[in-house]
Amino acid sequence: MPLTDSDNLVMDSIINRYPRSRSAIMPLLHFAQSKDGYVTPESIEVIAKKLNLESAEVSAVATFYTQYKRGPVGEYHVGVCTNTLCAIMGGDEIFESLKEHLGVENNGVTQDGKVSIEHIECNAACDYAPVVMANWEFYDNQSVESAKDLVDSMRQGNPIAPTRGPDKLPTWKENSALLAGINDGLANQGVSAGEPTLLGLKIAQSGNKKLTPELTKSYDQKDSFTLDGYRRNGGYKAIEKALNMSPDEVIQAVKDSGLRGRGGAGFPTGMKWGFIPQGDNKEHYFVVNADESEPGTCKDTPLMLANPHVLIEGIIIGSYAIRAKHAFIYIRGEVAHVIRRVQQAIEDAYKAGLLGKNILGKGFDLDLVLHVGAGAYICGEETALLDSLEGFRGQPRLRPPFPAIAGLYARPTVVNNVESVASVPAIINNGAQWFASLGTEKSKGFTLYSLSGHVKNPGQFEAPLGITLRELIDMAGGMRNGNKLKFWTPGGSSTPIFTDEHLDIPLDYEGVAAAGSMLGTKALQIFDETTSVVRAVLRWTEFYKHESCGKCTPCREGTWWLVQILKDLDAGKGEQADLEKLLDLCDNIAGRSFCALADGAASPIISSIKYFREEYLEHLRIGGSPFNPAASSLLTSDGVRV
Amino acid sequence: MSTQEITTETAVEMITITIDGFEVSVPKGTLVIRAAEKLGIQIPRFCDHPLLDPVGACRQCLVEIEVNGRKFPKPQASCTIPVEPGMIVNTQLTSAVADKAQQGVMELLLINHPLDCPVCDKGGECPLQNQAMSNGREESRFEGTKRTFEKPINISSQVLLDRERCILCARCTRFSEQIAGDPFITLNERGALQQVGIYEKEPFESYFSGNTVQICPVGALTGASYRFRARPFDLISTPSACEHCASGCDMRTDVRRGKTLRRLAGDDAAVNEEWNCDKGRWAFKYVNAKDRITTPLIRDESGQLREASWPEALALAAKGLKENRSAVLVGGRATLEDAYGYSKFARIALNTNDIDFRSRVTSKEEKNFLASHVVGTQINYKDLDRADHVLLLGFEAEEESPIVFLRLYKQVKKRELKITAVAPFASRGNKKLKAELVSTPAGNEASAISKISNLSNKSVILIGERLSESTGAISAAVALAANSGAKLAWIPRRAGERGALEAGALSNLLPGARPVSDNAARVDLQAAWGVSSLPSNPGLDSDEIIKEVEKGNIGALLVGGVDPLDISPDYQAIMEKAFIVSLEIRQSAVTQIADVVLPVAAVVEKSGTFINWESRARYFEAAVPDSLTRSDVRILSMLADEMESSINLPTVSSARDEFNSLGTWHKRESFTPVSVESTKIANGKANLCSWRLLLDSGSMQDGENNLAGTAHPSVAIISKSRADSLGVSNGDQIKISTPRGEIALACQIDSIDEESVWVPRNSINSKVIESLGITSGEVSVVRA
Repeated sequence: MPLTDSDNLVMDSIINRYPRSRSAIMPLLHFAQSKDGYVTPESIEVIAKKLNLESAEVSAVATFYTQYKRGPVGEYHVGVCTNTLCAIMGGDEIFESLKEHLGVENNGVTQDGKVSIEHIECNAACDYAPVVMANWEFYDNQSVESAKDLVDSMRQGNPIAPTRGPDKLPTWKENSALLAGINDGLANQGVSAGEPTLLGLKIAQSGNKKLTPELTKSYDQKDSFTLDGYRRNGGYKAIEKALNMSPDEVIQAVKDSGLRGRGGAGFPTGMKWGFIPQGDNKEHYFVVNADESEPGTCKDTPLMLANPHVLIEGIIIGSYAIRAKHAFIYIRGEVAHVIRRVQQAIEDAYKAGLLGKNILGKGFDLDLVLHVGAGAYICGEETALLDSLEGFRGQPRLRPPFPAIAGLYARPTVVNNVESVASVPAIINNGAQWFASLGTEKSKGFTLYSLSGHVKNPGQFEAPLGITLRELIDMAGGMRNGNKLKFWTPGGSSTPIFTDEHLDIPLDYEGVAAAGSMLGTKALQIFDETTSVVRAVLRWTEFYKHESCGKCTPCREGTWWLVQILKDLDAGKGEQADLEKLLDLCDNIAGRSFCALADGAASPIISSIKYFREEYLEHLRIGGSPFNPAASSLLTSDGVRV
Repeated sequence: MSTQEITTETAVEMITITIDGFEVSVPKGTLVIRAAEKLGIQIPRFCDHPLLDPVGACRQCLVEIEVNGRKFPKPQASCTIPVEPGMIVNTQLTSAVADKAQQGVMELLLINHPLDCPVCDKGGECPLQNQAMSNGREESRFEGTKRTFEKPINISSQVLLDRERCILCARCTRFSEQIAGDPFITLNERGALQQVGIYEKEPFESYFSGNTVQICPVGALTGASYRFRARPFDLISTPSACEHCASGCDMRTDVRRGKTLRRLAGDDAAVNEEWNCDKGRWAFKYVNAKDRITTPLIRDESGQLREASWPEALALAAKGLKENRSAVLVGGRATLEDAYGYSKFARIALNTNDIDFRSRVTSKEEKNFLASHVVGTQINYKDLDRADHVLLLGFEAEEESPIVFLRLYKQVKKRELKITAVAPFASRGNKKLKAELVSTPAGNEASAISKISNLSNKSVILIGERLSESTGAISAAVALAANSGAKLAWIPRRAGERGALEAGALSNLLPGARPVSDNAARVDLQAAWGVSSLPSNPGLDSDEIIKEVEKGNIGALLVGGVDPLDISPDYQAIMEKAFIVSLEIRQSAVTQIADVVLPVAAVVEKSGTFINWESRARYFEAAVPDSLTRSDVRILSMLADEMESSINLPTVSSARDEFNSLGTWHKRESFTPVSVESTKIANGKANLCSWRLLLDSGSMQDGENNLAGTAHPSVAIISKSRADSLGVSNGDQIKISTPRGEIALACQIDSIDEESVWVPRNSINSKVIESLGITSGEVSVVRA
């Protein structure tokens, strides 16, 4: 990396964002990619020197995250989602035909250096499946033809614009600079939200009382993501109210509201805030988990795209409550336009005196830093996220101590999901009782349900907790082609699957748990009768293998083995005893590993064998899959969207 | 910082738990896995290491745990859970769940592990092999494809990595980061492809890298020198002690058919814990060097050395020593027993106090300091553990006493122990210690030390042997200790010096801290030795001895393990005038001028004792059985017999017993401070400073090229302003010269004191004493 003086200044300013310099490793690596296109040995050495680290330490971090490249990529780097849902809906066909069309393999670059291609994991846009990303900008609802057109336009030097993104597709290096936190000023371009994101809102606006748009209520306004737009919709009123309360009163209000974590585990948010020791004369940190990566989960990403200020307002209130003067948003690195919007929103909030020193003249100071990840699902695990934010490999930490006692930089820290934090302003504005009056007895309030897959109209639905899948599928216009529902995930791929037996289970924490799964992220991935459950499970398992951090044996070695067995089963190889072996292996992996990732890996396997053992055996009987993948794809066999 | 640690030792709270039905009480904070050990219950483990932070990564040690009637829903890693009152633990011995969990993890560890035990160095002493037998399934159910890597890769010239054998316990990377402060090896990639590795351009050149080989629970990390050499069950292991420095490491020496094949760090919680440095581990091939002296040699009429019988050689040596005024020079390799032999030999056989164990640049001030403040005192590693502040004077811990460095680093990591170093620049070791640098050009230490004011009676001042090179500096340190109440400790570089001090191999001291000048002490020793008199005149230092040789006043020298080039480039030529009896392991500069050469045993071939800097005795037996070589003291005893003035030390144990029976004298000589003389450097000149690097051209590192390959490169360190005025940048050659000669090295620009230039004292292309004739002082520096 030939460093100019101005590069040096930029690097210094990146380092200065953080209380401790090592945290700057990730943005500095993004910055290095903005210079060279990939992480060169030279840039590793420069970063090590800048941060007073050994080169080995920087290289250890760089090789952990998939967005850091070891060699040149194209000016336009195309990622085709081949995680289960997108793959089944047509992603596999798109990826295969793009490879053939470009004459390159996975991770290959065309000879002209214009386009490179990679299969990627779930990119939090499942309601737009099949999804293609280019330089981490969204290309929604792709077909084989549209994807070919896209790469052709790239090679001609005039790429088609992203679906939800800037007017013109930035280059790989330009977007790498964005990921390093350098605002390119394009945040105001593009739509607030796409059609699927607006689906629930529109249904509510048409008079459906089952839905309660609150976070999503302004999504259809074209400037919903701006400070003006947010204010026009009543934004930043809650902090005035909150800053007039004592911090403890704010915590109490959140406790009273019954708000529970929306990131998957459902831990009561107010209680989490209450765990932060007070009067300990230590720095406290408020960290937002915006690393939305659980397959099927696509709620926080559109929220931050359309309504980033509600998150910022929630952060201000939360930080005030736990007496933190420093807050971070850890956002996944694969959503460029969302990063742009949040970055711009933070800058606008600073300018408006909503962040920084003496907020609203109330004597409360808060700095908010957007920290951009680099491709690692495990960083959604809160302690891995903290290690990543501190500039280490994102591997989970030993607990205790829990983050509330020793989190970021070993200081008391709250880590909350985006949706949880974004729900706080409404609670403050409307009162805890209002929020608590929604939902069910132990699952209070409203939440975002993301419906994707084989329904007629996938999309986002904001509703009180406890709604059923039957109601949601109804609103989505039913199953596509009137097909039969086969299986679905209630809250992402890590939650045991359900079948059509479970259509009327109330989708709240207790209801789903009682039926043997978890509410998780309310990522409802719907698969119809055309779908091979073995194929689906194999693909999820490949995902967990790819995303296993490697720290502990059961997950690292177990996922490696599970994939091999499932590949054989999908190909109809093996015998009935292999199913028992598979289950026994899952027993040796789930609950034996360091964190919950491996539990998630075992969930689809165990639950699919529970409900679809016969289908596994059928594979073995006929020596292959009884399913035609084309039947479950949205694309016909010649690749044209139907 | 834990003030508790340094002020009081509170009573330890004990907690009682039940493991497999047996109660055990252990101190609060103890991990379940170690509480089980106390009962003799072995829970299988890989990532767990008592000296590394718990990580819980391998998941091999899963057990079932219940606390106050509440059972954890999942098996827990016993290496990460501290005991709690009322805890009930069921290990694999009593819990089917724990047993299955452990077997499951073991099966998973083995799916990607190659079945190459028959060709793996670890086979036979492999925790994976052993625990797969004790806690694994009999057969694997894995029928798939194993992960493979290119094998092996050199991560340094002495450490090889077989990645497919690695079970990713991260002991090696955690050691490097937590214990050595050298994160040159890290975990890279992720998931099933996670692997240990170095940064491609920077090898694993940590002074402590060998420990990772030792703690690797599989054969993933191996030492190049031992690879494919032996089977553990063919080796005879003997506890031993390290002869390379004054840290005092406990060691184990493994020998097959009379040849040392490897040495390992021993386990001594009070000293080296379970670590050692790479020099201690790998520098042992000098013993089998081609120039090893195996028979006595005498110089014949033609001036050539020829082989001789022991009687002939002893007779000639005795005659030469008897006919001349003789003096004794003994080097830092001597054991306590050997040094005692030299000390007693000088006083009885030669009737002289002209003896000096300090074969290096030294001073009378130091001699006075050693006799007044060091001999007979004790201070130890625990004092470092409890110190509130440690001051390093003339001492580069990582280079000159690496285990002292590890202990300091541990306290810096654990409780931010404050370290201050008086040195011309912050070395890598001192940077790791986050030491506050009192930037001081060589020769000006005294005034720098006298300005230090923030020590307390809980502080420790560590004085290296190089402080004697700066006049007045030791006096300033003594004054600082007196004023602050801080403890003083002297850390010589070589393993034998402290023992030689206690043995009285010094011109002002008799054995057991008896001052030569103390009449009563002499009489006491006369009685113990059964002699009617002992020389009472203070003897000469090594420099004075050589001067007297030059003047012709001393005609014979008894020399044991001294390289004159460690003191002055002129001394070899001067010494040649004397009749020289040399006791030596290998041919040396002294051999070239000796009249009688008597072969002696190396450490692995003999028994003996090293006294480390703490004054701790580290006794060892011969590791190589049936060696024909003899320890110096046995030869000295024969030589004294031949001279008809017996010292009666026919064996090492008799020497040790006799020395121990002497006890420690209660009175010390007084200390006379030496006034400060700041060094003035002429305009345009530079002030030379230097010290030895741990891995350098020292003769005891000979023959081990894999180790030598990890030595730090020889560079000259200069300041930015000097570089600018010379017009050089990093890596350009510069010449450092005195009227005697010059050294040419690549320069490295660092924030060194403006006046100073630093070069390694005894490294490739940088033999400071030989080339420049000085160790500090004025030199010219020019662009080469």
